[in-house]
Amino acid sequence: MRKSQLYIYSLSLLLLLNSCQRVIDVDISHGATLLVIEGNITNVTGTQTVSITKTVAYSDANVYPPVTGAAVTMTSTSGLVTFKETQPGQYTINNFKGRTAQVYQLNVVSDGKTYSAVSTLPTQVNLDSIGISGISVGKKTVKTVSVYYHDPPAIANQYYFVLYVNGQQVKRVFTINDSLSDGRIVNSTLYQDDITLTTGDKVEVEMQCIDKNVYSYWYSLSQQGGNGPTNSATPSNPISNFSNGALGYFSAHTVQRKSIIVL
Amino acid sequence: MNNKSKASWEMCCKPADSAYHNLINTVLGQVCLLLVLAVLLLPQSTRAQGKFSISGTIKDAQTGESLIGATITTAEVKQNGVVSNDFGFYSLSLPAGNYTLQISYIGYKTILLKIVLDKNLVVNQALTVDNELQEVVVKGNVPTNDNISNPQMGLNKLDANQLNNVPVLLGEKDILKTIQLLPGVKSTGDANTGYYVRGGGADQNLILLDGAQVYNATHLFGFFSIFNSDAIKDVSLYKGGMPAMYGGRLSSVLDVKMDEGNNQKFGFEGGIGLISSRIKAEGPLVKGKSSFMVSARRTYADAFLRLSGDSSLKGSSLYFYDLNTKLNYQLDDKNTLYLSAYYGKDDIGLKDNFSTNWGNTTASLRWNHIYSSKLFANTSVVYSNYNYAINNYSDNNIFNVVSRIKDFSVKSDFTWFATSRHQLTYGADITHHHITPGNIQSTPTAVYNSTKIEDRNAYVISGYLSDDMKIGSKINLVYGARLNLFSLRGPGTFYTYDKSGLIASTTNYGSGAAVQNYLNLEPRVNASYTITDQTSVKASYNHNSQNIHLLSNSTAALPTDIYVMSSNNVKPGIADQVSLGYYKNLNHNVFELSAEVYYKWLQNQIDYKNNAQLLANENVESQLLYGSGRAYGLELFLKKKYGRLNGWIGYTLSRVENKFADINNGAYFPARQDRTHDISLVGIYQLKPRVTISAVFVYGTGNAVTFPDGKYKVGGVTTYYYSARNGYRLPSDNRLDLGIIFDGKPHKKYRSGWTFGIYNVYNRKNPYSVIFRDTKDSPPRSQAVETSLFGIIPSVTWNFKF
Repeated sequence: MRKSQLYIYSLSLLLLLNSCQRVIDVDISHGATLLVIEGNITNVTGTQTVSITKTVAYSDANVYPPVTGAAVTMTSTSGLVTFKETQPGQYTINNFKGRTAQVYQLNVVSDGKTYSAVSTLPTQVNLDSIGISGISVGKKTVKTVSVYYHDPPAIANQYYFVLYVNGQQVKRVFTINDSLSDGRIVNSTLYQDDITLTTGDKVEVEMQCIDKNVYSYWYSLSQQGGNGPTNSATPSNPISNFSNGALGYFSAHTVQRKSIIVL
Repeated sequence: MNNKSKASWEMCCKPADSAYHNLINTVLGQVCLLLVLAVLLLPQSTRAQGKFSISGTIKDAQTGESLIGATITTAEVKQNGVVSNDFGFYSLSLPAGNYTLQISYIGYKTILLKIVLDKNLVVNQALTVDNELQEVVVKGNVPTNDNISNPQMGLNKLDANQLNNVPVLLGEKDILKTIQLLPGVKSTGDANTGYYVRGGGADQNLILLDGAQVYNATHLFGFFSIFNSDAIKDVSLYKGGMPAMYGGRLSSVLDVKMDEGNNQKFGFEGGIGLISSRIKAEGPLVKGKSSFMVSARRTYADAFLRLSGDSSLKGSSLYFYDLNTKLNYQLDDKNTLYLSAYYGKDDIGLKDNFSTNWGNTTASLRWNHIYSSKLFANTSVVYSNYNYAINNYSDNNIFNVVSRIKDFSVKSDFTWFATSRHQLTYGADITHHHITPGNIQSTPTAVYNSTKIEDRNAYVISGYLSDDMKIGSKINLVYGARLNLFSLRGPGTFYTYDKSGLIASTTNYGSGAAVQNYLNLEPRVNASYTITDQTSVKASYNHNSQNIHLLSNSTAALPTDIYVMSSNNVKPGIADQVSLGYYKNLNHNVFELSAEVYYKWLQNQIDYKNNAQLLANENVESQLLYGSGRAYGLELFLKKKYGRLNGWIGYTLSRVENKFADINNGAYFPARQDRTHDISLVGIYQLKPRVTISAVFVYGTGNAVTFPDGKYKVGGVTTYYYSARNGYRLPSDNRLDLGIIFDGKPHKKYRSGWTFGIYNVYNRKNPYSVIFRDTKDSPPRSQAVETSLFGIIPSVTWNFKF
């Protein structure tokens, strides 16, 4: 329930009055290196991309080595398509459009191991509008972005949002389903503390309609905060839809974008 | 003890299984019959043994309040001493003869009475407070060594002196923070009132307020407890060897008793502190027979918000309050009635946006009846309720969410002072639990649909019998058992789930239909062997079960706690604990030294699936994982009870690990509350007759936490890879708090005083949480950011009394 976020919000405020943060050294051992697949098929005609990388150690820089030479194919009722490696670790098909209700299976063969995932492209729900609202806290007004859409009744819908401020992605995972708001006109606030919104900022929201497994992936990822009072008590890995232990996800989804200038 | 023999204590059965059903009914019937027989027949059967009994009630002479735990013994037959019970009643059996009866209680003048015992005697005695400092223990007034001979293990008691003098955050005296200074008890976080006992979960503590169970004992996300120390008389914490009269939780019992009020004269007292003010009134209703106590406390953080002059904050709320009241009426020498009630609420809201409130209500009506000099009975009717409500009214998005857990119970407890060698306690209770998991009511334009998750109902029927037995002059044995039947009842739709959490089957039950029964037999044994007057060894074993489970995958005490009952999916939690201890009193019982070791097996423990959605989820039981746990440790405790300097040193060496098939590849991993070392020092020193200084120092190993050992990027966001659950440690925790209390000169009509405190004197940054984020480098790297909550915080409180 989103309202729990408001608690968390007030709790955080309360704690901020007295808390202090500092960077500490942690001695973390190097875990095993694992394969990460990120595959997206959208309902917009164009280049569809699957990127394959490897995990790095916690202490390394955030540069993820590409996995080259993999065989990437996708099957559906319309047949089989083969992705081409256009850049190291980037596998693409051009001029492709995902179809509503189509089930896609992505197969990746790398180093003799096969990883596969299935995703269904859901029916698009229109993003009606986006807006900025402010919550006054003391003398400060915290501006937030809200999305408005009409959830279709009687079917399960899942949504994923990507928020950009002046072209820079907000590093938070926003996802919601309609378990409590089936058939409603939904106004959902994308709470975040990564980028502070100020007047004149250009805000862009990408809305994706996603299937249940992909929702489960993003939802579990959004819970991954780690050890904080407001986060899940024990962080864990998001639930991937890939077989054979690959990290990441394969998502066939719709795409819509809207933008607004913060007043 | 292996798993098989443990499992044999517990029987689980579907009602459809009529053989089990019959068995349960038969067993219950027999228990009830036994109890009735015990009440009706046994007390009469012990008359003609050439022995007589001395019984009565011990009270405070100034206030008329009963004294719990006063020692009644004779100079002639020392080892036959008894201790007054929760209502001040005692009964002592001795052969006919002349005796010097000695009645003593900490901080009170010992009474010596010459008696001629040639018939059953009633001796009701009032004790007066000993105002002189007991710097030197006067001969003949040696404090008792009940802690040595009493077989009860794992018990810590706190009195008002310790509660009032220990410095705490913001000067808010708090029993839940003070018990965390005892060995074996650990805080859930800096300045938090949540606690873990001997490795058990935070929801495995039974908290009773005058016999009523308190579900959420915290205010303001856990930083304060609901116990207003003004209204509290006595606190007992059982970490092990729980007496058979307590049931329903796995790891501990915290039995809190409210002040009864002065039945001699009226009085007011109160205090004005940094975050709250409190006031208490007490006095006689009928002098010497009946008294009342009313106590209230309210915080006023929101008053400061209003002063800020910011219009948006003026309509905001951020406060909590507590109301405690207790009335008692002594009908005659044999009958006393007690009515206790508590009501408390938290309220947080932002104007034109949302408001939320949560709180507990408890009430208990108790009737003490002295059937005879040897049989004491207490019958209670108890109500308890915890609920929260969330109201949203931003724009046209208007809805509210309501959730509740409500108990109603009736119980009878008997103490039969059968002979000088046997004291039996027995009783029975029946409780109705009603849970409203969550109702959402919304207007048509709101974001959420009106939804109702089905209510759940259950009955718990329990009976217990325990014998406190003296064998020779050295061995004391308390053995007994509690039999507990938990029965989940309709109406409702109940599901079973497959491995992936999808509904496998659906069954509808009518109102009152039994959905699932669990029968648990819980043996409890405590034994002591007194080596000398000053030294003993003790051993205990207890088996506990738990049928109400708190679901929370957050480390903060959020009001949106979800309670589920044992069901067709959720099995009762089971704990078996054995402990051994060595006890020694030094220097005429001025010092108490104890060393206890324990080992606890935990079964049917609950954890959550990776993507668990707990809130407003009809299928919340499909989100759970079940596993086992083990906890063991050593607790050392040295306490100085008397003199200008008193206090204690506690040390705990412990380990607690859990095992779940789907977590950590099925291997044991440290629980979050696994902390290897814990040290606490508490010192209270009376500097001058009216000046008391106090200090608290604590040190603890950091909590076990999960840190990432790899990372990758998905959706444009740095994502961490976790391999081992709780494989790392937060940095260690340590802190020094100081306090000083000035009691003003007593005026004719009133007295007042000041309490100053400093929390975290050397401003140690104790870790509360660690998160990971990207640095601003190019390319970015990762950094660990530690949050600490409370640095050095001074406090001041003005107290008054008239």
